Amino acid sequence: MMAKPNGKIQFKNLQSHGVLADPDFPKRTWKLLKTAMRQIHQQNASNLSFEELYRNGYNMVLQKHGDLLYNNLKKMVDKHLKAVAKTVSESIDEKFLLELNSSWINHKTSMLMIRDILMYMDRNYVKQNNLSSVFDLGLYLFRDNVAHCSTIKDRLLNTLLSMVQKEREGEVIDRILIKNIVQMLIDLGVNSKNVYIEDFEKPLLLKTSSHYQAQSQTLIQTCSCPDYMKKVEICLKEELERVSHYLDSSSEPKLKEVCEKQLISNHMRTLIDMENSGLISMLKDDKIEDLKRMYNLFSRVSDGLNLMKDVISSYVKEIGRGIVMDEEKTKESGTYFQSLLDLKDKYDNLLQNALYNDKQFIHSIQQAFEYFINLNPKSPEYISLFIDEKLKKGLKGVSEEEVDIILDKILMLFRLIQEKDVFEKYYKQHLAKRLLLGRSISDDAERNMIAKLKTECGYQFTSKLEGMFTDMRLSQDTMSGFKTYIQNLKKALPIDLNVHVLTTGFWPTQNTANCNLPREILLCCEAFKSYYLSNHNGRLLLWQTNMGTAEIKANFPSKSHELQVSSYQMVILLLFNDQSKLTFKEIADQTGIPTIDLKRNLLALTNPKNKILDRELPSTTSSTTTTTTTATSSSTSTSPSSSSSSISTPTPSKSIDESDVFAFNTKFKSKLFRVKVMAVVQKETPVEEKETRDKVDEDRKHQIEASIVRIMKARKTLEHSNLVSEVIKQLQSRFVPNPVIVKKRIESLIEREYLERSKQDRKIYNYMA
Amino acid sequence: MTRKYTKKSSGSTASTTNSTAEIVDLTTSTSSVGKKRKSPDEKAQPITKKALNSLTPVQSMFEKYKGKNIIKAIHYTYLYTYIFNVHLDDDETIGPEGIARFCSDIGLAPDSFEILVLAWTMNASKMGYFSKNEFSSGFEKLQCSDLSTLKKQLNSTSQKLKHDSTKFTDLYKYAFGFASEVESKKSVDLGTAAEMLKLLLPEGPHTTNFAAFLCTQPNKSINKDQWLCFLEFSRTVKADLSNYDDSEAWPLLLDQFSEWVQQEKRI
Repeated sequence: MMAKPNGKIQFKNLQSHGVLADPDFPKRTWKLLKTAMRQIHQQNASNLSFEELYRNGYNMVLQKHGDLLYNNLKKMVDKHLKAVAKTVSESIDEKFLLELNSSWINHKTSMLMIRDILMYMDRNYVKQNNLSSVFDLGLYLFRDNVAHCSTIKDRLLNTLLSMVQKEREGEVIDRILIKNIVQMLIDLGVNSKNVYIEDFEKPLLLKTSSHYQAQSQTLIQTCSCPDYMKKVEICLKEELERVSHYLDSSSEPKLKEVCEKQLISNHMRTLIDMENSGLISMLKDDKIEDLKRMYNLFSRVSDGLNLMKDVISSYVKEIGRGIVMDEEKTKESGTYFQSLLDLKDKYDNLLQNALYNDKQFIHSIQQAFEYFINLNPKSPEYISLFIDEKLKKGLKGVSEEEVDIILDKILMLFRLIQEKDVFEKYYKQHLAKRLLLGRSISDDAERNMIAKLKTECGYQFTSKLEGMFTDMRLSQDTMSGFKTYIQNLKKALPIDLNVHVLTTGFWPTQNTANCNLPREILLCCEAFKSYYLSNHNGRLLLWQTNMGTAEIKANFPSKSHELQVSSYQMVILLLFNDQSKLTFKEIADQTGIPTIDLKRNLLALTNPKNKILDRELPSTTSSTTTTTTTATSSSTSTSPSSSSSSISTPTPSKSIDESDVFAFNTKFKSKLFRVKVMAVVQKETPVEEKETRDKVDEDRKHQIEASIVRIMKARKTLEHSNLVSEVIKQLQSRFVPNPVIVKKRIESLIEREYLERSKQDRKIYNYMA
Repeated sequence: MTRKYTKKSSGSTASTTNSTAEIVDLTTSTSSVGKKRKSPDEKAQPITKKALNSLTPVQSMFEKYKGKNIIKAIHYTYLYTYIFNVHLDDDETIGPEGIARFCSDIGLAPDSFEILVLAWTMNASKMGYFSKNEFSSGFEKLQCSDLSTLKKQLNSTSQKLKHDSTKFTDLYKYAFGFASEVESKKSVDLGTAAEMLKLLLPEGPHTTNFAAFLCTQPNKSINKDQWLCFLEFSRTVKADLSNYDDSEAWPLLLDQFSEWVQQEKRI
């Protein structure tokens, strides 16, 4: 073994020595190589001796004939490839790609072999002279002679594009063949993708663009929005599959962009605006899947989601405004607010199931709600009425978990109300009524609601509401004590009395409205007063008769009944123990009930449904048998309290007139022993509404001034705009202060010398101790 | 006839007094002190020329404008009681009539800027009245004891004030209280305020418009804060209101004024 190499070396030396003496060596050697390479090109290399050929190449380079070798190689391959191009060009269309691919495969094989033979040249001569390697040289020559041959280049491109198009149209094509050609184009780029990009990718993108431009135009005119989007999804999916099947992966984002632009971007507005199937239709009909598809598609392009979001927002505003401004709906606060809750549910569902809870959409829809819910100045009142209805009846039979869910939903809309202080005013009124009339279905639900309001708006907001509950609890304790006290007196009261003691300031304020209580009632009141004041020194009790209720036992000729009435109604009815007929004026004078309330209560007593009193024209003469009525009543009396707003009930066609005359209805009949006479509660009158609003405005003045003083007391010195913005920040959880009002209050405080302007800078305020 | 006589007499008296005053200044201090001591003894009597000569020049001047009424009474005995009673309450104060004559003698209008400066110098508490103390302290501050010197001083001080913003601000503040007819000095009626502004800021970029605006207001008065802010408004806001910002700390009255100007297109 060792001997052989040595032998070869010796042989080489001898041969080299011989070559030097032979002037025909390069020519002869090249001829040998050339012949061999031709064999290679003809796929007939099996008889060739690699070692011999390699040695020949080696010797030529060694003998300084590298350039001869390199250039001759180039010419030979060039000539060969021209012949190859001719062959490919002459092939028929069906065979064209196959022929080209076959040529390419053969070429690669050949060049690999040639490269191996001329390895020594590659490593020395080529490197030293900064030339393309043998293999790369082969690539360049193939590119220039075959791929870019004038009779092949365009034909190749068109063939490829045509095949892609066929696949798009549903035909089955030879994907592997195309993949090979594509790979060829990539390889011909030699360390870059220039050839692939310039010769194929760019034209493909242009073709794709025009294809989908035309197709989308056709589809958009013939399809509904959802159908169009489904087809687009399919197209996009197919294009992605095409990339993975036979395109270079680097083409994916480019192709994607082109497709998305033509299929989505260019038609977004059209899709959204489509009548009967566009975005608004889908929103109307709750097409969740289609909306989700739209979201997915639009999220692929810039501004897609923005456009979708804006349209949804505008639509929600429009729908919301429709509800909020609907004359009929706004007359029924329950319907009104339930519509808003339903709308909220619908869009919460949409956000969750179609829009992936996209934060931008959540924010946008929430802003839309905030916009329209505050368009109607009655919204704070209606939300309170809605809660009132729920807490009186709506939540009956509902489980605790469900109650919690319902209240949470209500809170989400409440959060959007800007005038929360108006809401508080009405809530107090409604809560007062629920508590005093015993209409609340569940103390737990009430407290739950208050706890939620507290979480939302802070302790200060709910402290008075909690005070109301405390008063109710303490009143129960007081009544227990009072009953014990009466028992110990061993002198029974003629009437069973129940009293709620209410703290001024907790309960909604109202002018003290007193009527002339019958003597029997007064005795009981005085007894309670003695008891209460003996236990609470220095307190003042004021009776609030307009909020009371009573039960009266009434004897009618046909039957006795137990009447459940308001305190005012009780006072009115007791008059008829002594007189069978009374004019409106007489009743007013004897009872002292304010006219508005008197009319309301008389209306209830003359209601056909419970016609305890007859209403007569002044000139009518009638004889009525005197009937004895024994009154046994329990009366709720309160210190300042009231409720002036509530749901209206259908009003009888006739209203009470001050010229009316009233008589006890001896023909009264009812199937029920216990008859409940509901007060005809009217909606808040314009005057009352204005009063409520005025109180709110007055309260706001005080709140703003208190806030200013609080801030300045802490800061001592503060610049104007900072003061204004801090005041707004402090108060905006209750209402949004108007900067002009804030300014006015600041001026008032300056005038009253709580604040002064800094001597150095008029814009800076100083607090004055 | 009566006026001519009065005027002539007045001129004569003034001339005599001035001359006498000069003589008095030349006498020794001892003699002056001695003469002062005699004054109380003569108070019970009607003031005579001789008595006037024994007073300081300023006191003499004050007595002149106060005492003129008494002298007048002497000359018209049948009106003696009436005239005396009318001015009895003015024993320690120069009233509107006296001030009018005083201004006439100086040669300045009663509603001139210079007289306002004099009132400010005197720290007069009420428009149309100078108390004895105010009168004296004013002359002391202005370092003069006769009318011609007073006039020069007033003109000089007035000119300086217009270029001394600190002192002018002080005068401006004083003017509010001076013009106020309310006991608490917290408000001035709009008409008076308008006139006072024309006096104080005749060249101000907003004075004319603001005075007109005040006449349109339903309120009856302006408060001190609004008054003080207008000075800065006048100094800092351009005539076309282009740099006015109603979100700044300006009083609402000026916000409304700004709107009014733009609505009325008075720019």
